[in-house]
Amino acid sequence: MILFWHKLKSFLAKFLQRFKTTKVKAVYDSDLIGLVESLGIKKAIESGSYTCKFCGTTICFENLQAIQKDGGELKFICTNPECFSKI
Amino acid sequence: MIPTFLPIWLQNILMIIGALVLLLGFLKVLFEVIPLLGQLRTKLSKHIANKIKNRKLIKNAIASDIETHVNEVIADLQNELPTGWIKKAQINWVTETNNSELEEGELILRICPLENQDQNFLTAVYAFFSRALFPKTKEIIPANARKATVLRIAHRTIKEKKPFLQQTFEDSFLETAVRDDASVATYLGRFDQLDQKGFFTGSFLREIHEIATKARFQDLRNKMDQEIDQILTHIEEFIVNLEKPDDVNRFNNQTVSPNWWYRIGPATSYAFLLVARPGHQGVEPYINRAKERLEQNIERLYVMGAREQETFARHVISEIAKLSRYQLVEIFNVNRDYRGIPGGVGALFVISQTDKQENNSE
Repeated sequence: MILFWHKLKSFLAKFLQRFKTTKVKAVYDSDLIGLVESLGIKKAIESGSYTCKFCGTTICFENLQAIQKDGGELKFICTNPECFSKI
Repeated sequence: MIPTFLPIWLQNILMIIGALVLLLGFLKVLFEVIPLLGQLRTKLSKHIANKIKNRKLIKNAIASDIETHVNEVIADLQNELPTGWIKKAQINWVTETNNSELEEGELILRICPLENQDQNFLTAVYAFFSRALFPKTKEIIPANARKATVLRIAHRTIKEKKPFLQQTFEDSFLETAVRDDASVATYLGRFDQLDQKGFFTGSFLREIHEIATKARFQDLRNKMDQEIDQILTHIEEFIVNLEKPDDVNRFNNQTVSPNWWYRIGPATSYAFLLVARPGHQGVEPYINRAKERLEQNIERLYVMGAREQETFARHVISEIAKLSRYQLVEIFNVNRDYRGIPGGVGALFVISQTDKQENNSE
């Protein structure tokens, strides 16, 4: 009986879990410029002021793979797969 | 309720709109709940996006494709990892934001057009696991152990569900992580050993998550790496003892030294109870062993059932659940049982809070 109630409880929990999500934020390639504009960093990227937080490569629109908030600041990760896997 | 003063034709239109909204809502719920329908939706949206070449449709198709594949990969993990860790993945498109809207550590991934979907998928899987594992204890678990956990689980699921991407994952993610931090390689090797016997997701991850939860405001937080190392060592030695050849009558003769069956640490104490061999005195020896652990005041009891005797193991779990002092927290699946055979079942019992308080006051 205890197991039955436990099964019922865990079934309901798992069923409800189906409606919960882990959100992964993403920006589509062609929306990238609009996004960095809204963050107020478009000019800084264009002037090459930012570097990849892992390899130090200068970040531009072509090699930007991800933006991360780290220690309250925005950090950038380049398209080199080695850098992304260091997240 | 449609207002009756409206002309009939308008009432009809409103009725049709209402019916359509209901139908679409119903279909949405159906797609959410039944994974197979989700795959159908993905194929359909990809097909339409390729035909019409509309940017919004393409974005929806990409998101739907990634979500379906990630959810397909993680589906089995829902029953293996602690309850609440694995929720469905959802791609949340961002077109504009500001610094204050982002949470600390949060990522915004750049997703490329459909032609780069393999890379999109791997990036999304990695980002998903980084976010999903160790909810609320991320900051307490040392970065190298957490990273090795993410890599171990992502690698295993990709190997099983998307074998054609295994090499790419190994070359880009695993190789880099190992080269970057040698301790990650050490963890990966040790995790693999535990995973082969079902103790990695079954007990190890649950234990360190529990310890991290308790250590949040304690000095132990600064010694998490030592505590992780000691738990790993304990389980590794337990497995080595299990594999000793003289295991025919292990349960009664205790080939594994009695001390290896449990560990009393600074934050938690746990014990293992391995269930097999239904023909041998039935459930009684297992219940007695659980009672012994209660007398020792072991807080957490992991019951691990062999794949071949899963039905019997579930029966033992239900009998132990009748002991008032042990509370059944969850029943979970294991990747492999303690004999290394794929499948198997496990359960976690914790000593009831009232019982713990009574013992503390004594």
